[in-house]
Amino acid sequence: MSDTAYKIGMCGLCGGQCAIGANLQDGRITSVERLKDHPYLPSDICVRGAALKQFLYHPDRIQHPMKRVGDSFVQVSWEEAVSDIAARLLKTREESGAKSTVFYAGHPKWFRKVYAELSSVYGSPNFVSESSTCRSATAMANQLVCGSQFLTPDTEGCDVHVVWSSNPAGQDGKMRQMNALKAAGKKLIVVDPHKTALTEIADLHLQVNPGTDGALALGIANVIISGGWEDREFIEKYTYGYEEYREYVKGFTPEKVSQITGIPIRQINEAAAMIASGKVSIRCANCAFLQGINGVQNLRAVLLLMVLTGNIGIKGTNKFMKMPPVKLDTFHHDLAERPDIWDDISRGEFPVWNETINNEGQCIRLADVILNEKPYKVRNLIAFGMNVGMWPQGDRIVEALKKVEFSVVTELFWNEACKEADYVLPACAAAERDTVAAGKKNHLMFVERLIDPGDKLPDVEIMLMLAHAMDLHGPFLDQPDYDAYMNYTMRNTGVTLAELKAVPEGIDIRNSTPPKPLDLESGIHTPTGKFEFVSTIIEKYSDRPGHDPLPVFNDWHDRLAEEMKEFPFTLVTGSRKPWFFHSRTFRLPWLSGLEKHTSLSICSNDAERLGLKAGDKAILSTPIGILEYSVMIDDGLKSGIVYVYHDDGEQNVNLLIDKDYLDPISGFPGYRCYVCSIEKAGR
Amino acid sequence: MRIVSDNKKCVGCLACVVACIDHHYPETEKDAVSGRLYKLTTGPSGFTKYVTESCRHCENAPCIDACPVSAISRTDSGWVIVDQDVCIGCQACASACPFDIPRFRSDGKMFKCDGCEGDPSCVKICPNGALKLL
Repeated sequence: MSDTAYKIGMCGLCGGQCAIGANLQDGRITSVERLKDHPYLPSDICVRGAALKQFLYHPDRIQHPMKRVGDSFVQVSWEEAVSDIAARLLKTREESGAKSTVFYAGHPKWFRKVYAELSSVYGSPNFVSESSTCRSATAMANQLVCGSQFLTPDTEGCDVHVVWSSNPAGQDGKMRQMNALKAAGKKLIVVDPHKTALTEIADLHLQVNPGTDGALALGIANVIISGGWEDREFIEKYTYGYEEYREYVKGFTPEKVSQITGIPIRQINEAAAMIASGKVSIRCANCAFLQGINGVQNLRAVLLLMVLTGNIGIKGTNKFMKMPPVKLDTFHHDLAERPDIWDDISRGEFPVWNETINNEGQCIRLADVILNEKPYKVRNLIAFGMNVGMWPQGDRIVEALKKVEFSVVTELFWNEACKEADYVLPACAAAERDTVAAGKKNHLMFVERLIDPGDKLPDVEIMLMLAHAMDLHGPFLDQPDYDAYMNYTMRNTGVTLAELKAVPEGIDIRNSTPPKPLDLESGIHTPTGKFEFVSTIIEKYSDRPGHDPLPVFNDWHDRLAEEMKEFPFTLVTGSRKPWFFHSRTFRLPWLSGLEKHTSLSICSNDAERLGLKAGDKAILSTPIGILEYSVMIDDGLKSGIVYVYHDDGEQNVNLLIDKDYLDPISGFPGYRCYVCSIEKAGR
Repeated sequence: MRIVSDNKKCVGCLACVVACIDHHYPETEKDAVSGRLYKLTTGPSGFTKYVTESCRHCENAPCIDACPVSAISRTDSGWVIVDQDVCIGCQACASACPFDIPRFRSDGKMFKCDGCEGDPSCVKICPNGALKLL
């Protein structure tokens, strides 16, 4: 007899915590739907979540632990896999030291505290992650300027809200928030090289040339200072290095900035007047323009606009990040310390990273390290989630996986990394594992898994098994199993997992004492204790290229002047499409099939000049290589700019981006401002 | 009854298109046809995005009259639906429809919005409230 049911559970496809409704038949999901509202959890299922059943039941899902034997894989038991991997890790540590093992964490981030502890007690400095191209550069710039890795924009108390390079279309409720902000009479400034749903509702859209955000910020600062609109009192009391900064921005005249950024002088002046006109909060995307060779400096320049106008640390501006009232261990704050950080695989190439993001390493050079055995030989690569498309010239990561002596990849799908691994371990998707969620309003909830995971395990459970097999200890690693881990994450709430499971609607944590929010007196944890116009951390390394203590604008157009003669277009990769989450959903025909062809986007004027029409085949060339794409016309782009989605499964455009084209401070690749040429295929 | 889209609110994320497929097909269906159709449009500013539309469930639906095998009918609550067991794939409905709505699956059968028994999955999922049931 068939058994139908309706369950509320977690989508979690993108690493978020959206509650969804699921219809089930005999334990299988038949369809999902948005909940009208959920009292405690976000309920913003999106286009990706709508394809959840195709994601969960995809034939490429890894179902069992698999071991490489020759050129093929055989199914093994969890016991055999774990004991074999543990024995290998202990043996190589004995022979070559712990640093010869790299522990890599892909996305999402919920298991990182456990994983960092595993790497730490094993003794390796090489705990690294996808944040090497995503979050860390933002955190670095914030840390350098503000002494805090993240500041939260106050969208309710502000008069003006600035969104600097972020497109909320298809994201969890952001567009609704922006519409509400506008409806409340607040002004909206959007900085984006591309016209989006958000730029359409903006009071001012600054359509900046890719990678020139720093020049724009410095130019706006110049107008503000020239007008005498800076917040003198704030600057005197809370900042360091203002005089040098003021001298430096004088060079950024509206005329010059207009030429660099492609933004009319009138709009630069208008932006300055708006930013100086009241309480301003700003939202910067996590990576966007940080993926450029001057990314950290550009974001420093943007953040310093807020410092210049006193729009930081107080109501209506950007406030020091308020930790959620109920703090669990599922966000990667306070990671275990890395031993010997200066001996990690980056070997001090990015010293400012080590000074600011010290609990994980920069792994942008992972392929070089493994292939060249420099600074030392990496023997083991252990990965929980590994997408080779994250790196520029990711084909070299595949080569590195082939070369490294031993690799373990825990993944959802059989991907390119799995194919080269020695062990492939199946991870549960979020809908396949129980979760403790800390919701709104001091509320804790136990969210039961939607479907049976079969032989797959939660990543954390695998980490615990490895730690137990190696006799490694730590507060997380000493938990006997996944349930005990969940219970441990709740240790500061006074509630046990058993108690929580007994109350499906969850429990209010009335007695919790949220950490005291930081303010201007307690929150500025820079070396000088002030917001730094001149970075005293970067100053320590000012003999290195690009390490200017001031937020100096280095133009990538100068760096690539020679290449631009042959490759005159600006190539921007990494801008998102709502139905993809990087390359996590390209396998799902319902999503990848929304657009028939893998495409590059250019404006109609450029297309006409090149003799191209929508749907035509075109060859995209960079100094590194060529790929063929279908042409899509997008008049939301300025002439000379090419947008290509980064990895849609068929083609990975980041294969064409020079692996050495990096921000010298963060090590981030220049995905958002490289060069290319386009011509009609078959010519 | 019909579903209308406020294209000003629509951000072009296509959640409605996929939610429609999710509601009507098993995950193994690679050839799924959505009842919500979409096309790329460019606004006066150059902003380019997808907008969607679906069957208007017309009061005097010409497709009902055009169907030679009476596969198309109206439900008591006003939705115009197609019985795919009866549809012969002749595409007469497509010729009759003034809005170019009927689409045909690889088995030749017509597919279009059926109103999801009065609680459309596209309306439910729309993240910005662009879709409404009228």
